[in-house]
Amino acid sequence: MADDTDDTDLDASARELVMANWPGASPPAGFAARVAAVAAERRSRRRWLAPTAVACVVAAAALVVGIVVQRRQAARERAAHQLELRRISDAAAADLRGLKQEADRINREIASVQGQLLDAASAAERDRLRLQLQLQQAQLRANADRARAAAARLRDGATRTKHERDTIDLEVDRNNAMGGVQGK
Amino acid sequence: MVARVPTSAELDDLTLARARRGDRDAFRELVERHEVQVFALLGRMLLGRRALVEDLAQETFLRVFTALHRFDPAGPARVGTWILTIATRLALDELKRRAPVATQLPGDLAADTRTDADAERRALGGAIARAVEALTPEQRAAFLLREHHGLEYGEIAEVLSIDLGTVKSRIARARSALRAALVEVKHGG
Repeated sequence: MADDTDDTDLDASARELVMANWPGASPPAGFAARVAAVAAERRSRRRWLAPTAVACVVAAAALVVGIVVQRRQAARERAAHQLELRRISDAAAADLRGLKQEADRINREIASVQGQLLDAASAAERDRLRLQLQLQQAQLRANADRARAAAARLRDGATRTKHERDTIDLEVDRNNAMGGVQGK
Repeated sequence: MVARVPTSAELDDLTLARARRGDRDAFRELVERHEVQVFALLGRMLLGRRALVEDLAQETFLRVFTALHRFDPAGPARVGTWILTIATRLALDELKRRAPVATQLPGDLAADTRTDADAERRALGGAIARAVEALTPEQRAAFLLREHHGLEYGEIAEVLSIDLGTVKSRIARARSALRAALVEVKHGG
């Protein structure tokens, strides 16, 4: 059993015997020169590789930065475009609401004129009321045309922004405006 | 005025400084200065596998060259110890990777002479070879660094990255095995 606490070196003769029967190797001739040549060759390769590697890293970094900048620029442009479309859509929706109110007002006036027409006593009065009715119907048609244009702008904006918007009833009650009058 | 002759240590430092700057001749000089020790260590660690010893010796010095800029000459480790550290670790890694192979220590050589002196020499060689082969690579390394290369226990602990107690224990076991081999031959065992 080995004594783990023994730290006495082997005596010289024992060491000599052991080492003589446990030989090491010796370097071959020219070993140092050969190793120095390999080391120098590797060093020159590293010298060439290092700047190349740095250049590759810089190029890759520049590419990445370029892509990031380009994407940010595209995102900014997209956001500005969306904002512009939303502004147009909002304006169109406001126009549409105004036109709808105008159409309601004209419809109410037409209904009133139709009522007066039924009650008119004289032919001259009926002619005047018919003329007034035709004028109001023309106003209503023009209003409806403007409403359709605004609705088209609104739809266009909604499609391009894919933005959910309040739907507005675009139907204009033209029957109410025209009905009954033509037959008179 | 008498020109001051640089001491061996100073010369080593000068060589080292030049080698650190990439001077090929200085590096060759550094290799020449330490190659004998490296081959002695690797040859014994790898039990005479000549081609492998040479490969590992070359790898040792190439690593030295690569890491030379990190070596601090003013630090606690001497250049020689640092180089032996690299060689020892390479040898231990290699021995862990490879399966043991038949060794060619003198005691294993076929006998072709019949004198008593030769027989005794062969017996001694055989006993030491068996004892050496029975050592673990770590015991072998610790023993060689102490008995052949004269490193202090603390330095060996640094080289093998183990504590002082383990170093002493490994060396003691190796010494004990080799003393037993010598006694065996002396008593005709």
